[in-house]
Amino acid sequence: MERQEKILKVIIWLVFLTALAFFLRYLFVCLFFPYPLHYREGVMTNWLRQLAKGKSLYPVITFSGPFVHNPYLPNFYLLSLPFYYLFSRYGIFLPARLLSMLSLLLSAGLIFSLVKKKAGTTLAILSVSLFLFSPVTVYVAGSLQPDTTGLFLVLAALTVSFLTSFKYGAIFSGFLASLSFFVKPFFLAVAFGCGAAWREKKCGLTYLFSFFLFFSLFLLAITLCWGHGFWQHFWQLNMSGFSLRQFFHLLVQVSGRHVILFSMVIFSLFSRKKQWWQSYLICVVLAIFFSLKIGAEENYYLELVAAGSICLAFLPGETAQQQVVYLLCLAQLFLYLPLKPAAVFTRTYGQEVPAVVSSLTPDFARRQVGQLICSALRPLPEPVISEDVGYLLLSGHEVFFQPYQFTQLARQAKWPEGIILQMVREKKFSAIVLSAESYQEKSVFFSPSFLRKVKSCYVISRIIGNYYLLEPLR
Amino acid sequence: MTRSRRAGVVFYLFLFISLCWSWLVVLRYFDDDEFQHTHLSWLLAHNFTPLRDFFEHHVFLYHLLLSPLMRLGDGPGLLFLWRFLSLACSVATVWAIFRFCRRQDGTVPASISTWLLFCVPMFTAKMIEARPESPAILSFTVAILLLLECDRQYLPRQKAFLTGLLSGLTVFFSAKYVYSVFGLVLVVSLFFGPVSFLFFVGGMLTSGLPLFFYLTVKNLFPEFIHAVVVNNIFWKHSFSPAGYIFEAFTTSSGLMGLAFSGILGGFFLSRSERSLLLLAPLGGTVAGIFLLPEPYRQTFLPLFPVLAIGCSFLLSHVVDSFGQAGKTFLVGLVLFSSLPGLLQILPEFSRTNRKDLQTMALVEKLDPSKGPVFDGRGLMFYRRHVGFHACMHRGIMAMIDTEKFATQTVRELCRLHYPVVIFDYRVKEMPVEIINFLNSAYQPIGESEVYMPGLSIDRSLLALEGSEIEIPVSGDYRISWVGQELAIDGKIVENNSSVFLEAGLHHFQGLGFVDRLSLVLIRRK
Repeated sequence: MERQEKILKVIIWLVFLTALAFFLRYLFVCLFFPYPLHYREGVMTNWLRQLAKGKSLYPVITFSGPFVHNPYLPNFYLLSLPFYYLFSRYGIFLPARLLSMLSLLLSAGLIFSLVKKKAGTTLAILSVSLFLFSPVTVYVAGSLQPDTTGLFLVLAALTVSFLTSFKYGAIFSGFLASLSFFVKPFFLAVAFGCGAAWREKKCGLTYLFSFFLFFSLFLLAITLCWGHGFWQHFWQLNMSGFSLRQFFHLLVQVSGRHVILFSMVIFSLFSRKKQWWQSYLICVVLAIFFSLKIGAEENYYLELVAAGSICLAFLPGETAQQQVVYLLCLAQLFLYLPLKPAAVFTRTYGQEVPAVVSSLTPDFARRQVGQLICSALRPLPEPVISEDVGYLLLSGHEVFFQPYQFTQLARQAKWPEGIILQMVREKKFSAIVLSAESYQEKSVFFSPSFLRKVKSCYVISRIIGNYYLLEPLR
Repeated sequence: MTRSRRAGVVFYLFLFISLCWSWLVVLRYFDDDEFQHTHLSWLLAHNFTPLRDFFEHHVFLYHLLLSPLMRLGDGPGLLFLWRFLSLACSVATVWAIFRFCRRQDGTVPASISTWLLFCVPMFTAKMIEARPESPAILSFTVAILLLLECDRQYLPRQKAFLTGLLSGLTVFFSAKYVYSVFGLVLVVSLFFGPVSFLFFVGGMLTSGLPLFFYLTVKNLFPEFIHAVVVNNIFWKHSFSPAGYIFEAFTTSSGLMGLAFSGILGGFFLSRSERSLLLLAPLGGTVAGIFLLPEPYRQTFLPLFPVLAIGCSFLLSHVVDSFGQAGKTFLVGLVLFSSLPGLLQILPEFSRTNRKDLQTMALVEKLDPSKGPVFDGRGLMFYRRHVGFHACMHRGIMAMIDTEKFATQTVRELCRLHYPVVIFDYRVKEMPVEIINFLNSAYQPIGESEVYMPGLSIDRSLLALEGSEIEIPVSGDYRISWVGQELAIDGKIVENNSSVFLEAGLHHFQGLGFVDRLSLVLIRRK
């Protein structure tokens, strides 16, 4: 039996090392890719650049434009700033991507140390694998986003709550929890989880005091620095509505690939040993309801995936056979296999799954597309509209219109679209870059009225990869 | 959970599965293959000789065995009878797996694996179709279970023979499972002695006896070898399995993951024989998926019973390890594993067969003579088809001389006095000569796909003195046009009325401006 367990451990290590090699290669390729990998990258890099230039992170938006929106709280930008000063010469997306990736790797390290302390090295390796190679993590890992940094702060606060029991620990975890909130308010669960932990350790009040102190200080600083603009960006411009359909779609999509991990969460939730950890898990599960917000993606499940991986630490105490836990983890890792959708034939010889979904790892074709778009936009006068604002930054243009956010606001009748339609009618934009999906009115980046107006006043001048470059109709 | 309560849960589980399947049997849309298989049985029942009177590339043991049932009547109802037979095989397959897993692993793991098996959309949908895969999977599953119930070294002769018989039936029902069965052959030859293997092979050969007998009586061996063996080996049309692999993986991820670990776990948790026995047919099926030129959904079917058995094994250890506390874990597993599959199955309930049944009824109404019908899918499976090929899909089209096919088809259509045509998507993909002929000699009935002999006459032919126009078939024609009066053979006819016309030349003349004149046969003489 011991020999068999050893073989199983060797298999686990082999799986981990192989997957890690692929994962690190993926991170490396993404880190140095000079063009945007996600819409969010252009938006966030634009605000990081504004901050580096000493401009406001939250300028007041008026009816005359520019129509730009900063959807995130300032902490991520502030933490990225030193990286920007140090590394921006190697590519405008690299500094913040580096912070995101470092945060992710540090998060994995924290998970490893947490689980190792409680359940040993093999389970720690398994829980890191369950976290790191999850499709959710892989999805967020390659690109610039605040989620991994927020998660790192969450895990740091949890680690401090796990490992220490003195007052400074409570103060520090209060600081980390409030810091993570101001990276992304989604990371609110940890505040309750740490609260429950410190209450068990009789330091609840100290933690509470520390959390609210730092929370108030951050809020005060933000209000003093950006005042009205901050509230406009954080509240008014963020009201893009809710979608139940999107929520369930995400839930089924993610849970189908995390069957065992999420079952572990449920198991830990209803475990008889009542612990502060369960309070945290309840809050993490409830936080999934944030993905009701229109535009939410898989990244809303990142914290749940991390929490599920840590749940492994609590399983051995509940089970008689360690090998069964190993096998369950291997089953979960099997579900992470990165299979890509491909065309399938139906009875009408049609295609059920579109064949256009490409690999996550950026390839040469994508690099060429970026190169061609940027060289086409560079000589054009301001203003220019691009579906992916990252291309504007790379070609030296200012961002005048962030399509996704303002289209959503227009749909909710919270922003008058007439102004931008008027500008399109007057052909004020020297060029408009749309993806093929948007041009065919199959995306959510532009409203149908905007696209109709564009088609009547602009004409396609070039097709570059999946993008259409439109110029004013003469 | 008490024994009686467990039995209750199992009863309701099977009741629910059977009800859902029955619902799908009655209402779910027809797959084109269903017409092909039932039509083949109909042809055999009506003494047509395969490969001489009509083309076929399937091994027709299933069709031969079921052909007597075709004499019970005619009409679309027969297809439902076929579907219910498939349903019986599906329920038997699931029940066999459940019984085995309950005996080996306990009621809870067996029930969960059975449920997860039902939640695989590919399995649920394909197993109830009127096709030979359903009995093939039943015999394949029972063969595996018989082997799993044996000791490693000893396979009794009767069991070896029976396993061979079932394995042989699997291949003779559906030749695409030859790779899966090869896995079983490998297991028997390596694990059990040569005597058992001989009996196994004997059983396999016995399963083909009815077919061999039929082929000998009809002297069809050379044609059979060419059409069914050589043709299928050198099949030209092919596509990648990637799409269906992705579909199978995303809709049955829970079952796949648990089975993967269950089979792997067998090597570590004292059931290595079971794992080895499961690995062989599983490997064979996976090889088949990659080697077969057209890996449609039904190619994946042998995977799922094997996966369900593997899944049950891991679950039994989960139940043992976690004890009472493991209930919530199992609830989570069932919930998250079922969701993606169930969400894919739900739309199957709303995609009904109504349109096909309406088309069948329309054809019956227009042509109650039971004469032949020309189409690409074989929708009117209980009537004769036109030409040598009953169904014409891309795969067959790639294997034949399309020019010859077009000439023969047009000739046959004329010889059979312009039978009813169903202008389905497969007909639209046929050679242009056939399409041109149909467009010139047929007219659609309303908005349907059904076409009847008819003409659309250009207005220039009607002007002044009019023209002689040939009517291909004698019968009542519905005649309609836009404009002033029209005379046929000197007699003025009413617009939108029915006129009897004999086959041959008739004089058509517009008395004034007449446009968009069309004639459609509504009743043959």
